[in-house]
Amino acid sequence: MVRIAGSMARRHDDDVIEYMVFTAIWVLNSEHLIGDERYAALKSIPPNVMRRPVTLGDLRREIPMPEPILTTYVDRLLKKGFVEQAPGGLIAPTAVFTEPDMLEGADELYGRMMQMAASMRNAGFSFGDDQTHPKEPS
Amino acid sequence: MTQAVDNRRAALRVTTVEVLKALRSLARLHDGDMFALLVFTSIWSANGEHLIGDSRYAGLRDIGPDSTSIPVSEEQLQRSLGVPRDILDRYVEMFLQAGLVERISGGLSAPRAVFTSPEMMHGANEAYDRIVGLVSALRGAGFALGEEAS
Repeated sequence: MVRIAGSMARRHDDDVIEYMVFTAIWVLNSEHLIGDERYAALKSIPPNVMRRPVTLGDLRREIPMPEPILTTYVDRLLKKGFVEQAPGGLIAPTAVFTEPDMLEGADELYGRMMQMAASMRNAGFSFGDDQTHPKEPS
Repeated sequence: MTQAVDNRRAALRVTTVEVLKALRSLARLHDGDMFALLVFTSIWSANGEHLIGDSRYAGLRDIGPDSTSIPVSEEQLQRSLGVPRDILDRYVEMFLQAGLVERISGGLSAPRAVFTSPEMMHGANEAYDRIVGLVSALRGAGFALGEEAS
């Protein structure tokens, strides 16, 4: 997970906090779309009207960290155009996700998830085949 | 042969939501500061990355002894997190003061004793549960995690 975050932060000048703050914003914008088949495919990016703006308060609850760090990074994302101020709060606009490097990044993240799944299988983790805690020796 | 449905964006959405939930919850161990959790996690995972695949340290309570820890330098840590050095230094100093991390020859190391505390054990157990929860959420979204991974 640490490796994945480090790699995905490339699009944010390798800064993991910027990547996390950006991620939290788009997650809060689009969490309600989970299960909506119209936006399941890689290139099926939800339009701006489908995005629910996120307030700074929502963001504080989503990714708790010291206030000055959070606001610094929100400002930075606004300046870079990764995030826009919309009525009701912040959104990561659709246009950001249609950029070739963002699409490539989403595909890479998917690939890394698959790799992580394979590594975990190799380490003996059975993916929910037995979703209970393994017995610990007493 | 049927073509696999492209549900990559759906899978990423579900995974990211669950990962953020897990981070938020585990941040409790660091007074609710998610970035502190990330810095600390980066330190201990760098210390023990070479133990992946070592069955001696696979069980929840099979914590590697301090002698197996490979220290991570602050420069390495900064490269892996990419954050401004002053922010990172503040967190490292906080961990050193709290005894969560020690400065040893070669860099920083999270000592074994830290992981044997009931809170940390509980956190590790919760992280495991969260992974299972993630799998379950992905299955609920119709995603067969890893079944087709080669």
